[in-house]
Amino acid sequence: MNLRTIKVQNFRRLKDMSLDLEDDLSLVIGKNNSGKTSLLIVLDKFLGVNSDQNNFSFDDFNSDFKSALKIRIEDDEETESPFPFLGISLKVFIEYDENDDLANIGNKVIMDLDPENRMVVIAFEYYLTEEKFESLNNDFAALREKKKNDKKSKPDFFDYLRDRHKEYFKLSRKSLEYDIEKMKENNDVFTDLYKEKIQIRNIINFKHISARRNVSNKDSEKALSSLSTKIYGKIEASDQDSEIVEMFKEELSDTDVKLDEVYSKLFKELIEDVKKFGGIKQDDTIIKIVSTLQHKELLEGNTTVMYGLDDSSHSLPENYNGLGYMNLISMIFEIKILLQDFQRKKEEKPADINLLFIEEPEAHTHPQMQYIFIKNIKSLLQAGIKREDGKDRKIQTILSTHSSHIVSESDFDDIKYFKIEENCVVSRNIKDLEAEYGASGAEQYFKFLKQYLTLNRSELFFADKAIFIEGDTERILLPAMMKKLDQEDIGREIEEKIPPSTPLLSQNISIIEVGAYSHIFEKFINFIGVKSLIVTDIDSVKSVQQTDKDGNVEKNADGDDKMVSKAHPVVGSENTSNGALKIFYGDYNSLADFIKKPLEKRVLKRDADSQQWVEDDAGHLVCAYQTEEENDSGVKYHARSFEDAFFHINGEFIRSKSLDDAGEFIGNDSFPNLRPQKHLKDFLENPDSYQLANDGVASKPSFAMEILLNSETDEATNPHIEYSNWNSPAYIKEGLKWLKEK
Amino acid sequence: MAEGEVSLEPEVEKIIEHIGGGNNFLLSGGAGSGKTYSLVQVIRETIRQNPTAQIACMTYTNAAVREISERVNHTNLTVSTIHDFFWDNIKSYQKELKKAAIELINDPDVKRFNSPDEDVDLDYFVDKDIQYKEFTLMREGIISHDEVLTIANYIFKKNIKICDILKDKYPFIFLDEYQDTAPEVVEILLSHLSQSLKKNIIGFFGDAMQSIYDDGIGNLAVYQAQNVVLEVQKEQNRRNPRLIYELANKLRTDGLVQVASVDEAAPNMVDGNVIDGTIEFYYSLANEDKFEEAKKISRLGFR
Repeated sequence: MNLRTIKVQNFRRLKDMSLDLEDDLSLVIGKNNSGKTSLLIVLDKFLGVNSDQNNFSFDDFNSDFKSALKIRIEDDEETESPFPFLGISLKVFIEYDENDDLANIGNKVIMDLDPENRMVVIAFEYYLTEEKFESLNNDFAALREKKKNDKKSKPDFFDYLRDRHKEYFKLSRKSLEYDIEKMKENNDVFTDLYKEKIQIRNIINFKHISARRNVSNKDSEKALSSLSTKIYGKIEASDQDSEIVEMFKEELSDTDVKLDEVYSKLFKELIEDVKKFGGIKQDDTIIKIVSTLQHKELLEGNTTVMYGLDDSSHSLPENYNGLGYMNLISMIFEIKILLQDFQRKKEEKPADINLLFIEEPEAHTHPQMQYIFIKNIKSLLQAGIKREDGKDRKIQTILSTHSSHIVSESDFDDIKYFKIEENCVVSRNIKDLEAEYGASGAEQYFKFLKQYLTLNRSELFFADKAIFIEGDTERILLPAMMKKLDQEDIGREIEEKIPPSTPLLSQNISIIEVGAYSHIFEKFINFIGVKSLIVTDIDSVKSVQQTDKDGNVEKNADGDDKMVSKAHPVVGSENTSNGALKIFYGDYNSLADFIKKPLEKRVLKRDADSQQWVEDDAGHLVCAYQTEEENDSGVKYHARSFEDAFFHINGEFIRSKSLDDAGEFIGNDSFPNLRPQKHLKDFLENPDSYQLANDGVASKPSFAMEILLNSETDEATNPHIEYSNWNSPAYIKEGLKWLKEK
Repeated sequence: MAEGEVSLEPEVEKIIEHIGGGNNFLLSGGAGSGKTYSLVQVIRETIRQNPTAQIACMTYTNAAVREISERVNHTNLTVSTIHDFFWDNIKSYQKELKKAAIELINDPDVKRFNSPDEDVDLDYFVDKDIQYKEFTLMREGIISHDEVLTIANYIFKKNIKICDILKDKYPFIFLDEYQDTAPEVVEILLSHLSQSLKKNIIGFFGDAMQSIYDDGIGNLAVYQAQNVVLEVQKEQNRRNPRLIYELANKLRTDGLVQVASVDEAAPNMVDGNVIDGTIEFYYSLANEDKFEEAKKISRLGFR
């Protein structure tokens, strides 16, 4: 039996969320505040240890729900028919097959004898019935009247409900009919499980390990030792006849006997004195002091977890351990205890569904430990629940994390990505993304993506924004250009006295190198939905006659000239050869289309139906490529590459660093990678950035380093402006500006 | 003997052996042979060996239910009448119940299910649920005693899933006084349930010679012949004096020969020996019940 899906409505940020679960391990990932903890809490409230009581509070209701309820009550509109569902709900979808033990779900939970229908749906609700809604309406109206008559201020609905929601909302547990044709649950046909006295604990057993674990280095807290006591307690309770437990008790018995002997010698004098005092005759009531080692209490406070380097004599007590180990060991102990709980005692069957939620195992753990943890946790849990009577069960685990180390070592297919869409948390399966790539015949793209993300860049899952760049040059210079923009903005904000914006370098931005293949990430960018800037080149080309090596024009079969697209300066070019640009801006047909649109008009969003990227002011993706720029000398020029653009607007920078005070050429020292030097020298005479960019750069990344090495800080301003002696090309600057905004 | 095991009767041990072999069983014993005592022992031992399994024990009357409940009280044991048991296990499947009721009404061979209306189509019960009450009102979906077993039989026959469910819920189903049970019930237990591949044990307790009702199954000879049920005979008689059970032996046609109990504490034992007892034989020629007169002249000590 497997838990296939969990649906939550109206609980905190989880307004209407549906999560598909894997058979073994589901990895729930997402940024802070994306609802991962809320998921754990709602499961615990409805399924956990105290779920028979009402442990909901007013702030557990989703804000939109609260507002809508307030409007209903205060505006006193007609409620629609049938009466809508008003409350928090958790639905679990459980699938069974012919090998499962149906004893529990066969009792009132299965509602359909159709052999094709293998799904049961159990709904847990905290909601308002129609009558209770009427009462709430009337009571609050009465309160309003009273306040009005007493000439007091109007009562606040939220305050009223905060104190008294438990009087109106009630808990319910239902088994819902599952319609296999529509593949959906039917809220109108159900069995009331409270009325039928069905014990949910026989069907679902929910346990969790929360992020705030008992791990501190305080001397007084022997966390692990107390855990070993707990484990003993569980082992003993579950099988009192076990050989090991018997052995333990026998040892204690034997020790008692030995200690009795010792005690009689130890306390001999004491007993003699007592005898004399009490006037007790010889051979009369004899007092003895005996040993009574009670097995359970013996462990508590009397065991210590020691860790040592090897089997040698050097062991250190638990609290001397670095926090990484302690946390890991503590988690394993806790998992072991929970496994015992899942197993239950001999006389009790384990539950049909055993669900374990581990929250943020990475807390207080070194990345190395995180790798070890995630690698081994799957096999530890896969063993499941094994019992002597053969009633074994599987364990399904949900693991929530924001550690990219854990993500990179996990099975990609286990990932469930939580994100906020229109103020609502949604859960997306990586498996669905894989299907999307497969559907358009791009399986190899997905394979690449998977490898890439797990090996290099799983932090992309946790980023707020992303920049996709072509290569090393951009990677080396981008942080500097971001810093420049931040400093400029700070200066301007101080001057214009406007509120400060969040610096780019303080934002959670992932920078990814993708070469010319940003389009491989296209579906992924849509999947994670973060604001993304793709920095690429315009790659202008012109159609020219194809010539052979002797310079003769080649001909086609029908006698026409063979034409081929060749790289060409922007002016005079007709098209772009950039595959990514053609995919993202599918509507643009010629180079002119690319040139005429300013960046603000090039913001894209993917259309859900056509799956094409289309212009949308509210979009989250922009491709930045070279634009026409005017330099200090008043020359307007449209560059074709980064270096091209850089040289065009930073002629003064190149000149000032290539010539010393006396005007002698020192370019070989300051820019060793601007080779052959002839081109640099030509540039200093007659600036042709295209020429220098194409022929005069030996190693682009090395040249990028040289730009940084030659950068100066302007100490005159406050704060000091770094990289003050060169400018960022406009196309990059405007891209970063767009990205910087919310 | 392991801790917790009481000494079991030889018949009970044989039954436990059959259970271990995965076989359904039948315990046959004469009047007063202590079948209920054996039933209780079987239940207790089954629980001891299978601590997580649920046992269903069905019996004919509410009085019998009370008696057994008083003698064995355990969370793993459910005791109920046959009608209550089957109704409880089918009542939540209204969709199938309604479909079954309509089929049965429209089936001319089925005598019990009748509706005053001519045409009964699929929408007949659309707004009503099938309910089990003390009277029948078919138009409202109300069925009673007579119809419950028929509809239960139909549902178990047509739906393997409910057979799966019942076997998982109750790995052990015991039926007391089986001889008076409707054949439809035995058909469910020994025939329809075997459509499901899941394992469970059906145990029958009773006496083919004590069959009261004409429409009871009477005996399980047909099933025994197919080895669907293995018989264990209770030869020891705990309650009746020797002359009584020896007379019964002469009257029985199933080959069961009763003997004294080996349990010295049995009710029919005194000083380690079985009481002889007395038999008086009265007959009257007329069709009248002259039991009261007989009591007056009897020397058996009626007051």
